[in-house]
Amino acid sequence: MKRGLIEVKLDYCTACRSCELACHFRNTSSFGTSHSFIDVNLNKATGEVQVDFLEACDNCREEPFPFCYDACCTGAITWKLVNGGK
Amino acid sequence: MGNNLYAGKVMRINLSNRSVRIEPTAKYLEDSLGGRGLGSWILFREVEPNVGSFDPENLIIFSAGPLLGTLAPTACRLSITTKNPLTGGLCSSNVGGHFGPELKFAGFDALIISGRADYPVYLLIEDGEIKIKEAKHLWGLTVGETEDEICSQNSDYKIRTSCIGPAGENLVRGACIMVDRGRAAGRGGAGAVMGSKNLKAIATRGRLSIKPFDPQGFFYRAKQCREKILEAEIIKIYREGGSMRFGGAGGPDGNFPQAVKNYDDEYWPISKSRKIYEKTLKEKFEVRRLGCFNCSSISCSHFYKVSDGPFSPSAGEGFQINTARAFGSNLDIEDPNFVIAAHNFCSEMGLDVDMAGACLAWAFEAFSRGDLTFDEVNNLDLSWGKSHSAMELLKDMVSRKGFGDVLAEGVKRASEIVGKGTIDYAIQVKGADLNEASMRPFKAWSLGIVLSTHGGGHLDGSPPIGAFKKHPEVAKDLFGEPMVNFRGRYENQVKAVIWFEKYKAVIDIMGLCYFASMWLDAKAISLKDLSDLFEAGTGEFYSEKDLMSMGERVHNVQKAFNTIHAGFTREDDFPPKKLMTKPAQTGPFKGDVLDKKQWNKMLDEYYEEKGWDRKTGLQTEEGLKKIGLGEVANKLKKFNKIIN
Ligand code: SF4
Ligand code: SF4
Ligand code: SF4
Repeated sequence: MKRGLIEVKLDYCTACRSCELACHFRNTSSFGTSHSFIDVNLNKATGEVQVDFLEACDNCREEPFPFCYDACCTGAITWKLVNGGK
Repeated sequence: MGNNLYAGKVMRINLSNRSVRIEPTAKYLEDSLGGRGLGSWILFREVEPNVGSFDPENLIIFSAGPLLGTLAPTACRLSITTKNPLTGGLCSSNVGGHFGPELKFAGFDALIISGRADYPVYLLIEDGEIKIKEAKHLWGLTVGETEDEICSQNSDYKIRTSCIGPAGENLVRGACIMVDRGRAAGRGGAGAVMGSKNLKAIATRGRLSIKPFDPQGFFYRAKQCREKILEAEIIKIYREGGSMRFGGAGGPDGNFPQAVKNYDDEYWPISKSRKIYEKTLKEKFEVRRLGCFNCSSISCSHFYKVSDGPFSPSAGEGFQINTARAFGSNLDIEDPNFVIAAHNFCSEMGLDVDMAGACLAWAFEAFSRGDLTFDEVNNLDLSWGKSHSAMELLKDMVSRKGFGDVLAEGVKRASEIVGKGTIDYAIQVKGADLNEASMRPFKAWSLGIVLSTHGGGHLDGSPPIGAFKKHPEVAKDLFGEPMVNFRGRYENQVKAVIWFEKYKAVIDIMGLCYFASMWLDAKAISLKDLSDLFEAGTGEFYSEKDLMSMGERVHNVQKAFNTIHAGFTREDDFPPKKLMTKPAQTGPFKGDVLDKKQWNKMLDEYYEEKGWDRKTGLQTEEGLKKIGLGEVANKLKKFNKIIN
């Protein structure tokens, strides 16, 4: 079961991929992006971005906070606990 | 040293015979910890002065530092080192984006490229493997088209590229390498060197991981650094509006100095500058803000789109303060549509905005003085403010058509070709074209620009304007002087310039961005932070002093390369003539000029402090041996370019 509600406000996203790096780190204790459960894509011709969560994302339920949310300083990823911290 | 924080491998590629050799990175880490240090040492050792920038024997080195690709904020900056086609000395360029991290995740800390391919090729580097692929079909394409084509051919849109456009193919001396389409390794002509090697692009895709020694410790320290960045006051301005908010086209109050009409003045009236100010551009042109890899804490880049008018359509990122100067104030052009479109054009063609802007401004001045006539400049009206002519001339520069062929050589060579005393207003140092703000009022800033081992530019010793104004105690502690880079001050500035030379070398060795460092803000990433991050990442301790000594050595290696290859001496360490002879005309900086006598004094002090020779500006055997550079001293001796 997923914990909390994670949302992405695309207008704030700068396609920096701090979130991918953080998720990969949470999953592997190392640096990379291939084991990330969040996927950021930028269309460099238009400036459009897309942020997707993969099926494997569990909202970091065993962690004190979602790593992607923690790494995102632009305000693009928001997180709140719902149903009494679930 | 183990491989923690490193990919562990360096790849040598000889394009002439297509041989590839893999070596352990550890082999190169005794002299420096990577990045700018690794590139500079290899170039110094392996490229001899009889080798020209465009000869196959010249190397081009892409090198990552230990923090690049990690959780450390702004961990994206890759160093590019080669022999500079403009100066004949060193090109030490640096670029952000996502290519550097991807290269490391693909298994390599550095690429050392030599030779020349028989026909255009590109490199595809993927998870420890390399393929040298034909690029005949890519030759002639713009940067964006090249990236699209490579991704589509390999059916992978996550490939990151580092490539050249037509400017590099045509050996325009100020051609740059474009990374991720919109990020430039701008200064120093590395794009032309790639062109000379018939190397259109490097494409990379990495699914491997970099391991830290102490994951939790590193995570915690990186988080602390991020928090510092979020709290630092000056960085906040960059987060909100990029470098444009800070000083672009006159700065927030219109009183920030700006090069105007090929540096005839330092002030552009607010009625003009407001048209290209960041807040104006945001309203009309900004699609979104963008960040380099792992830079959610700053993300200084803007993606701008011009949708209507004669310069549309045009879209792209990477617009910084210097573009507003290069294509705005320095040409006296007030049309933001043109300024943005010219920037995007340069990105697509792989042309350095600073070099291009300086060339155009010089040509406009020559035209206004009658030193160049209408028919000599491809039948263009190069009167100040003429945006359409400027765009045409940019195109001609890239294709080397007519007078564009002259400009493609850079202002120094161009003024030698044209003659008529036009060298007197060529804004360049050591052959490197300059597009810098604030040179007359801020002396330490200028000293850093002129003494830069990159040829010329603010990305070496220049301290920030009004360094640490809000924290004079930090300035006093580090530089023995609280008023560093305050307007008009020549006294006690040298220590700060030298401190920043070393510190910025360390940042480039590590692979972080200056905008997250103490170059912008006294409260940003410090030497202690770097030392802590490195220790958590590798288990090895380098004190702040160790790091600064490493920075000092790298700076000296770069200086020695310039001496051996380009023969620069004290005589080359002066600002462009105009800045020393013609005071600023109007506005808040009226009367400011760089005084030759005072400049000479600063030079004396600087050489003395560096342990170099006052009279010639050359390094001394004693000075080099003192910092452990006996090898460098020996090589200089061989070429008779050292003072005993
Ligand atoms: S960290 Fe935030 S701003 Fe950066 S790519 Fe992820 S969602 Fe976008
Ligand atoms: S919530 Fe956790 S698992 Fe899901 S994408 Fe974010 S960091 Fe990865
Ligand atoms: S501050 Fe700007 S240039 Fe530096 S890493 Fe971040 S986005 Fe890139």
